[in-house]
Order: sequence, then structure tokens, then C-alpha cells
Amino acid sequence: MLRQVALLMFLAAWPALAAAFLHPSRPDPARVPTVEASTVRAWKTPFLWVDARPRGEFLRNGIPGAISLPEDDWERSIDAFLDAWDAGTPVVVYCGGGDCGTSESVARRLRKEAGITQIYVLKGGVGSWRKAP
Amino acid sequence: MRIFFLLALIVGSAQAQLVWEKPVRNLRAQPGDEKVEAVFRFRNAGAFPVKITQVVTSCGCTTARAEKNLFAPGESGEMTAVFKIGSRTGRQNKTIMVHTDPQSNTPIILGMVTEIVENVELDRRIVLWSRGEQPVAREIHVKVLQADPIRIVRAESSDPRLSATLREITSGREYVVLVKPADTASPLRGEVVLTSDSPAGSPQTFMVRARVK
Repeated sequence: MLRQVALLMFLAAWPALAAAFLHPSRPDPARVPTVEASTVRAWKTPFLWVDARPRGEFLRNGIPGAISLPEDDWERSIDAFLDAWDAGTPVVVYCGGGDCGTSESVARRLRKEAGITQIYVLKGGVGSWRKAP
Repeated sequence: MRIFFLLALIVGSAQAQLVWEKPVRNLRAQPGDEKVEAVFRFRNAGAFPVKITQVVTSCGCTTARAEKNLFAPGESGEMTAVFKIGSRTGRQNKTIMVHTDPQSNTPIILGMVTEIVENVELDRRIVLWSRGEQPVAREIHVKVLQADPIRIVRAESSDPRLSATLREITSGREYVVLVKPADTASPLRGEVVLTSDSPAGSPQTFMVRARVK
């Protein structure tokens, strides 16, 4: 009886494991977590905005107080980020919107290079911040 | 990446005229590569000419252009996209949005997913101390990822108030660099440069930024 139960559990485990690893909506642990604009609006503690778009777009309509850190100009821009950022302060990275990918890329790099743990990507980009209640 | 596929699927079904062979390309860049290039092939499968009116890339690092703009029914074409790597590392997702006339056509989104291979990995490139905190050494672990060994031969600090000590764990494979300010009483902006022995003639270097603030 016990052997049959064990066999059944073994057989049932395979599809469960396959679903866990191959499911299309399985979370990617390497991804930086996203945050909704409305959530950021409700934060009471200080945080730092990082604009991942090209410098021209940042100058045109960046969020006030944000630091420009485009990957195209990383080596020159990272010093300004380090001057503005205090260890332990959460960082929110934004780009133009939709699935631009740039903010994710900048956030991953900051997490890896500086070991920033409280780092987020703004869902929907800069447009969502302007529209958020 | 899934987003690329979904978008390509949605766009592919909505866009009846330009049919793209592979709207998402997976690419691999080797250490030292300055750029990667992808050629996206398409065919005008509709009954009317299609004009490419605008190409918008998701990053200033990516350019894309077709050989010409107007394609007759049944005609095939190519769009060449170039992604300049710069100092980027890891996986990079770049998109190219192609607008066509008639304007009723949904723009096409092409994807370039590039894996930038690193031959040496540093677990930190930025180390920080707050003013007044104990000037404890920060450890930077260096691992050689490629099969052939690379030796780190030097760790040099740009500032006399910042020390950098190189320790070999396994020759050609693994090192630890200890970075330490003499004190944290005043601000400091320094760099530590790690020099390798590869490639011979113009050895690769790796920079670590150190700040007391």
C-alpha cells in the first residue's frame, strides 16, 4: 500500500515540477520588482528617482529631483547618482513607458554593481507617474 | 522576452501586409565586441504597396534602417539593426518599432535580445562608506568565467587615502580585492583599477568606484 502511494506521489510530482519550471508566467528571480505609481505616491519615506531614458528626454520632462542615468552614458552619469544616493535609500527607476526595458536594465545594473537591495522599476514608465492619483 | 513574443504575435496577426521572418532575434556578444547586428527579413504579403514611415528604437544605443522605404506587393526586404554595447553587461532587451503606411497598420515591434558574455565577473563595482562609520574593508570577489585562465596582476588605488589589497584565491580563476579607506572622517571619491594579464599587449582593466560620503 505504502509503495503504491509513494509511486503515485512520484508520478504526480513530475507534471507539477514541469508546470513550476516551464509555466509562462513563472516569475523570473533575476528581474527587478516593479512598483505601481500609486504605491510610490503613498510612500512616506524618502526615495530616489532614476531616469533611465536618454539625457535629452530627461531634460525635456524628467521627474523633478530625478537623477539621469542612461546606460549610453553610464560611466559619466554614475558619479552623479552616487553623489545623490545615500545607502539604504530606496531607488525607483523609470523609462519612457510600456515595455521599454531600459529601466529594468539600469535597475539590474545598479543592483549588481552597487548591491542596492531596495530597487524597483516603475510600472508603466514616466507617463504612469503623471497620471497616478 | 515573453513580452516580445506576445507583441510579435499580436502585431503579426493585426499586420496583414509586412510579414516578418523572425521578429525577435537572440544574439550573443563576446567580450570585447563593440556592437551586435541583426538583420530582420520581411515580405509584403498584402495586395498594396507598403511604405515604412518611421523607425523608433527603445534606446539611443540601437539604430535600425531598411535598405529602402517602399515595398511593392510580394516584394521582400531587410531591416538592419545595430546595438552598440558600450559598457553594458548581462542580458539586454532592445526593441524597434516600425511604423508603416497605410497608417491603419499597427506598428510592428521587433526585438533584439542580446546576451553579453563576460569573461571576468566582479560581484561589486561600487563600494560605499558613510561618514563617521568604521572604515572596515569591503571585499570584491573576482571570478574568471571563461575556460582559459586570466590572472589579475594589480589592484591600484587612485587616492592615497584608499588602500587596495589583491589576494589570489586560485591563480587565473578567483581573486579577492580588499578596499579600505584610511578613515571616514571626510568625503572621498576614489577608484581602484584592477589590471589583468589578458589579452597580452593591451590587458583588460576593471574599475571599482569607492566613496565615503
